[in-house]
Amino acid sequence: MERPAREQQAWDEVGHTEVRRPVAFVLAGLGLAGLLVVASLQLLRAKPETAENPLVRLGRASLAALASGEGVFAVNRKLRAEMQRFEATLEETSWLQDAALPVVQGVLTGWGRVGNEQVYVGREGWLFFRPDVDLLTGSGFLEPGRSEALAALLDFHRQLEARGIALVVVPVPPKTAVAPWALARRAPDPREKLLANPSAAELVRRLETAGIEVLDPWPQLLSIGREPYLRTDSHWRPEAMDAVAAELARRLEGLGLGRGELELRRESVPITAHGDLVRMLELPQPERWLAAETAIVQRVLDAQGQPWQSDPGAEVLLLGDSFTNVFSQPALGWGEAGGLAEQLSYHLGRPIDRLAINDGGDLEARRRLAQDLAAGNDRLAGKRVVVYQFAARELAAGDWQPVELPAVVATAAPVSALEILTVRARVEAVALLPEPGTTPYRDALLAIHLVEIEALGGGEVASEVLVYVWGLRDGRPTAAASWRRGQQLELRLVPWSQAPPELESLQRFELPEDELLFLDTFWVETDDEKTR
Amino acid sequence: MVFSSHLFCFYFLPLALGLYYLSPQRTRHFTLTVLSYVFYGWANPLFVFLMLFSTAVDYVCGLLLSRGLAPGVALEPGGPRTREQKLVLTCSIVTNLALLGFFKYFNFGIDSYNWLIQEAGLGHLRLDTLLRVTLPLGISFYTFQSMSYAIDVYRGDAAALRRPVDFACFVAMFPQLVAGPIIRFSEVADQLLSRTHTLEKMARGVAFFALGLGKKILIANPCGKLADLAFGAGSLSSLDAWWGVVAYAFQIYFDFSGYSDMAIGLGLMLGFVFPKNFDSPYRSRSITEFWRRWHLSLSTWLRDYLYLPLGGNRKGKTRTYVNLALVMLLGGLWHGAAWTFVVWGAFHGALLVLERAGGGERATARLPDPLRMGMTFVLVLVSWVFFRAPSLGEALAYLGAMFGLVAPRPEAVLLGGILYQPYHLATMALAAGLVWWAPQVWDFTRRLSWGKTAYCLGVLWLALAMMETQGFNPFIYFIF
Repeated sequence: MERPAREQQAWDEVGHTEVRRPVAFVLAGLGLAGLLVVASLQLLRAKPETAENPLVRLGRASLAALASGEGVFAVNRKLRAEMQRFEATLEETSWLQDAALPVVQGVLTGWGRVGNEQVYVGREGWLFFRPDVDLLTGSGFLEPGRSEALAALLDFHRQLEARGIALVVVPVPPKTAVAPWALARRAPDPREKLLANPSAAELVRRLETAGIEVLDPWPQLLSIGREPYLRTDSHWRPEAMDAVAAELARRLEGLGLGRGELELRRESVPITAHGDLVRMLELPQPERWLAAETAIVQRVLDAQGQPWQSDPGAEVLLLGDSFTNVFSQPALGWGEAGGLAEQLSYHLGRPIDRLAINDGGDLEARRRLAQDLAAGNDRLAGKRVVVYQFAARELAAGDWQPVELPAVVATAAPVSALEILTVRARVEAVALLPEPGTTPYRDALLAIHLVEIEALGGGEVASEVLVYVWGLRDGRPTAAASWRRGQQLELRLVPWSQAPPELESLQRFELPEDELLFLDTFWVETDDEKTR
Repeated sequence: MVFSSHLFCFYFLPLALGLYYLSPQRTRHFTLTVLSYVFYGWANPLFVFLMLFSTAVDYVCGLLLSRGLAPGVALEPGGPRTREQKLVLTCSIVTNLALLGFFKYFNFGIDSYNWLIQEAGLGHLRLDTLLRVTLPLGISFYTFQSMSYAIDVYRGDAAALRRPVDFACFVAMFPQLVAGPIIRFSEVADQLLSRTHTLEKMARGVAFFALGLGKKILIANPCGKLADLAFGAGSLSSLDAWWGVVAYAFQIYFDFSGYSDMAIGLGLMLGFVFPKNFDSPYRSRSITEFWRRWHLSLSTWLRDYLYLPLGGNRKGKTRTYVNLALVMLLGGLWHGAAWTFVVWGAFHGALLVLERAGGGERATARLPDPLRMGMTFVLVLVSWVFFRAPSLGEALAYLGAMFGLVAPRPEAVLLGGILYQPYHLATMALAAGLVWWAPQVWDFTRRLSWGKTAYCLGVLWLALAMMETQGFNPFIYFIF
C-alpha cells in the first residue's frame, strides 16, 4: 500500500540517518547509559535508617487503598496522592538535584541575576520575595473573587467588639514598595510616589469606616532612610521596626492605654547574616554571590536582665507573623528578644501578650487564638486591644477564611489537666507539606490527626487528638512528613501548653478541617517515635 | 507522567526500553501497551478505563468494518459501503466525539448557558449542577487518533488490525499519547505490523529526545516565566506587553515542538518513525503558510477529516470561506473549552478567509520575505494573546496595553526590573536565533558527527541539570 505523503516524508527525513556506527554507539550509549547511571547511583546512595523505601511504601499504600473497600473515587484519590508522594520523594532525595541545584542556582543568580520560583534578584545584591512583586503589579485585591481579606477583618473586628476589645490593624508594606529602586532602575522615589496595590487605599478607608484603627506604617519606614528593609531578607530592618513600634505605642496611648511603668532596657547586638531569601535560593556558598549584611538588633531585657517574655495577662494582644518574630526567634537568623512585641512593650512601658506565627498573619494566628479559646485558655480575658499585624502581600495571596472565636467552654478540661502520655494511635490525616523552596522558613510544624488512641502505662486521653510534629527541619522534610493515613504509631504526647514556647511562633502546615483545631492538642518529639 | 520529569527520564524511560527490548518480538506490543497504560495512569488511574473504553469501541468498529475480508486486506478505496459499515463508522465517530464532548465541554456548556440566560434576564432557567467534570489528560489527542483508525479503515486507506494488542498499542503508545503528534493510523499501519530496530534509529532518537528536552527546559520554561509575569500583571507598558507576548510565542513553540521532538525521538527508540509536527512556523510569510507549518498533525487531520469532506475549495468561493472559518473555529474549540480559544480560532479563520479573498499569498509576493514574515508574526502574536489570556476581558486589556491604548500604572515599572535581566535577555535572543536562523532538529540530526554528538549530549545533560532545579513543569498542550 502506498505510504501517505507525510509518512513518506518522515521516512525520507528521519527513517534514514547518516551516522557512522561508532558515533551512533556513543550517542545512544552515553545518552541512555547516563540516565541509567543516575538511577543506579540513587539506589546505591546511603539513606537514613528510618527512611522507608519509597517504592515499597508506594506498593504497600496502593494495595491498602485498593483493599480499603472505599468508593472508586476515594480509592483513586488515594492512589494519586501516593503516586505524587512517591514522585516527590524521588526528587527530594535525588543526588543529582543535590549536586546540580547549588551550581545551577549559583550561576543563574551570580551571572544571570535570576532567582527561582519565589525569589527575584534585584540590583546591588537586593533580593525580593515574589508575592511582594505580585501584590504591586497585580490587579486590585478587592476586585470580585480575589480576596476575602476585608470580610475576614471586618468579621474579626465584630467579634472583638462584642467582647469590648478594640482592633488595630497593621499591614506591613512589601519590600518592593519601600525600596522599588532596588528592583527597577526607573522606579520612583517612594518619598515622592508610593507604589501600592490599587485596592490598598480603599481597604484602609473601609476598615476605618467600620471603626477599626489602621496603622499604615509608611511614614515610619521611610523616616529610616533609603533602606528600611534588609537586602537579602523579606523583612524590615530593626530600626524600621522600632519606628513602627514607637508609633504603635503612641496610637495605643491614644486609645486610652496610658504609658505603663514596666521597667525594660535595651542592649544593641550586631548580627551579621544572610537573609531568608538567600536560604530560599539554596546557594551553596552564598557569600560567593551575595554579601552578608549586618543589623543592629535591640534586645529588650527586664529589670533582672533577662530577655523579654510574652505575658498572657497583658491588656494588649499582638497577633502577628514573621515580621513580629524576625528579631525574636533565633531560627530566623536575626537574633532574639528584639522583635516587634518587645519594642512595643519597651515603648509602651507595658507587658504584651504575643501570638505570632510565621507565615500565619492571614489565618493561622487567628486560628491559633480560636484554638486556645476552645481549649479553655481564654486568651482574650482582660484584653483591651488586639493589634493585628500581617504582611500586606497576604491581602492578595493569603487565605482569609473567617474564624469563629468560640466562647470559652467552662466544662472543657483545663489545659493544665492534660498530662504527658505515651500512647499507641492510628494516623487519620497528615497535613501536606508544600514544595521545597516555596517557603522562606527552614523550620515548620506539621499537623497530624490521631485516632484510636490507647494510653500505654495508664492515664486518660481523648479518642482523637491533634498533634504537631516537626515537618521541616533546616529546609528538609522530616520522617514524620511521610507518615501516612492508617499508620500505627507509639508516641509520647506532650500537652501543647507544656511544649517549648518557641514552637508557638513557627510556621505551621494545618489540616483543612477547622473542627480539628478544637481537639486536645499535643506536641510530639519525633525522635522518640516508634513505628510498626 | 511528564517527559521532563525526574521520574520519567531516570526511571521510567530506561526501564521501558529495557523491558521492551528484553521482550520477545511477538510480545513487544503487549509490553509497550502495559508500559503506556502505566505512563498514562500515573496522572490519574481512573482515566485508564476511559481510554480502554475508547480503544475497545474503535477496535470492534474496525473489525466490523472489515468483516469478510482476509487479514491485512483493506476495503477498496472509494468503493461502495454497506449500510452497516456506515452505521459502524457513525458509531465510532459519535462515541469518540461524545466522550470528548462530555469530558471537555460539559462544564463550559453549563457555564456558558448560565451566563447567557443570566444576561438575558432569565435567571430562573439557570442550570445548577453539582457535577464538575474533570478533563482526562490527552483526551483530545487519543480520541482523534482513535477516530482516524475507523475512518482510515472505512476509506480503505488501511487494513483493520486483528490483534487487539496491536490496536491498543497504536492508541496508547506513550511517546505520543498525551500531547501528540496525532498519529493517524494510515501513517503507522505498516510499522505496527513490521518495523526495524537499528542503532541508527536509536542514536537519532536520543538526539531528538535530547534536543527536544533542551527546547523545553532551557527555552520554553524560562520564556514561560516571562509570559506569566506579563500576563499576570494588572497593568503594564506597551514594551513590556510586547515582550511578554513574544515570550509566550517562544514558550508555546518550544514547549510544543520540544515535546513533539521528544515524542519522535522516543518513537525512534522503539522503532517507529513519526511524521513531522512543526516546520519552522514563525518563518511563515502568510497565515496560510503558518497553518502548513504549525501543529501539522492537527491541521492535516482537520483538513483530511473535516475540511475536505465539507467540500474544501471545490464548491465555490463562498463555501470555501465558510469551510475555512468553520474548520478554524472548531480547531480553536478543540484546544480548550473557553471562549478565548473560540476567538483565537475565529481570528485565524478570518485571516485565512481574508488572505484567500485578497489573492492569497500572491498578493504579498513582491514584498521582501523578512517583511512578510514580520507581518505574519505580528498577526500570530495578536492571536496568541487570546490563546494565553485567562479570559476575553483580560485578552482585550492586554491588547490595549500592547497598542498603548491604556496608560500603565506607576507600579508597572517594577516589571522592567525582572523582564530584562541578563539571563532572560540571553534566553530570548537564543530563542529568536533558533526560530529564525538555526536549522530544524530534523535537518540538524540527519547527519550525525562527533561534534553533533557532543552537542546533543551536552544539551541533554545541561537540560537534565536545569530540570532538577525547576518545579513541576508540564507541557502546555497537556491541557488540551
